[in-house]
Amino acid sequence: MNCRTFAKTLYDFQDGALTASEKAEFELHRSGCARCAARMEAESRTARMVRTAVEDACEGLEFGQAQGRRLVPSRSSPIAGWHIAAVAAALLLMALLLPPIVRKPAPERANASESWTQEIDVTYEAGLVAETVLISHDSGKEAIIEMRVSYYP
Amino acid sequence: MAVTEAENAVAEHERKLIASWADEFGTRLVRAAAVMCGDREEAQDLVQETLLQALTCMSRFRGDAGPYTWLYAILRRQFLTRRRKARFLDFLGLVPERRDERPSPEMMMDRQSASENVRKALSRLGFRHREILFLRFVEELKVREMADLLQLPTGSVKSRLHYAVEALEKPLRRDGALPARRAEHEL
Repeated sequence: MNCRTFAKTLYDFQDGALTASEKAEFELHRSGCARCAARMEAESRTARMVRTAVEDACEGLEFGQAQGRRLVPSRSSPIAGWHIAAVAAALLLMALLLPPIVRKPAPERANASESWTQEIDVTYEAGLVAETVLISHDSGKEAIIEMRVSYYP
Repeated sequence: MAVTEAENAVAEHERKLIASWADEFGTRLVRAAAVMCGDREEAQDLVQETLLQALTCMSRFRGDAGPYTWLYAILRRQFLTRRRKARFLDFLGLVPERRDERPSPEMMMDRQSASENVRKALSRLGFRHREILFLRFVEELKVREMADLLQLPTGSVKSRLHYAVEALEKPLRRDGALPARRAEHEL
C-alpha cells in the first residue's frame, strides 16, 4: 500500500469496511509511514474539534424550545420583507388613486388667532385604508404635524 | 362511511407517528438545521416545516431508509428551497442585506470558548462542506450512510469529506489553531 491508497481507504478503515487483509495492509503502512500516521491523527483531532465546536454552539438547543439566543445576528425574513414592500406599494397606489369619501371638516373657529390642533380622519373608498392627519393651527397658519396611515386587511 | 373511518384512522396513526418522531429525532434535527442555517430560531422553523411536510407526504415513506434519514432529506430540501428563494429575491434586488447567503463569520459566535476558531472556520465553509463535516464528525455516520442520505456515490462522499476537512483546516493552520502540515509530518 502506498500513501495514495492509504488516503483513499482511510474512511473505509474508520468505518470498519475493510476486509481483514486490507485492514492488515492499512495498519502495516500506518506503522511504517509517519506522514500518513500524522495525517490520520490530524483528522481525528479535527473531528474532535468539530464535534466540540458544534456541541458547544448547540448547547441547550432542543426542538420546540422558545429560543431567545441567535447564532447569527437577527435578520428579517426575506419573504416577510418582500410582503411588507408589496403592501406598502399597494397602500401608496390606493392612496393615490382612490378618492377619499369620508372627511371630517375642520370646525369653525370664532377666533382665528387661537392656537389649536385639528384631527382629520380620512377613509378611502375600498375601506382598506384609513388615514389620520393632525394639523396645527396657529394664528391662522396651518401645518401638518403628523400623518398616520392604517391598513385593514 | 367505512372508508371515511378508515381514512381517519390512518390519518390519526400518521399524526401519532410524526409526533413520536418529533420526540425522538426533533432535537437531532434541529441541531442539524442549526448547522445548516446558523440560526437557532430558523432551525426551529425548518424542523417544524419538515415535520409538517412529512405529515403531508407520509404515504411516500416506504421505510427503505430509517425515519431519521427520511426526515433529514426533507429538512435538507426545505433548507435548500429557502436558500433558493432568498437568492431569487436577492437577484431581484429586493433583499440586499442577504447578498451573502453563507452565514456570517459571527455564526455561532455568541459564546467565547476554546472552540471559537473552529466555529469561525465552520461558518465560513459552504453549506455542503459544513453539512458533510456535521454528518461525519457529529452524527458519526459512515460513508455508506452519508451516501444514502445525500443520494451520492460513496466516492463523491469521500471526496467531498476530504475537501471539507482541507477547507476547514486551512484557516485553522493559518491562525495557529492547528500545527502546520510540515510540522505535523515531522512528528
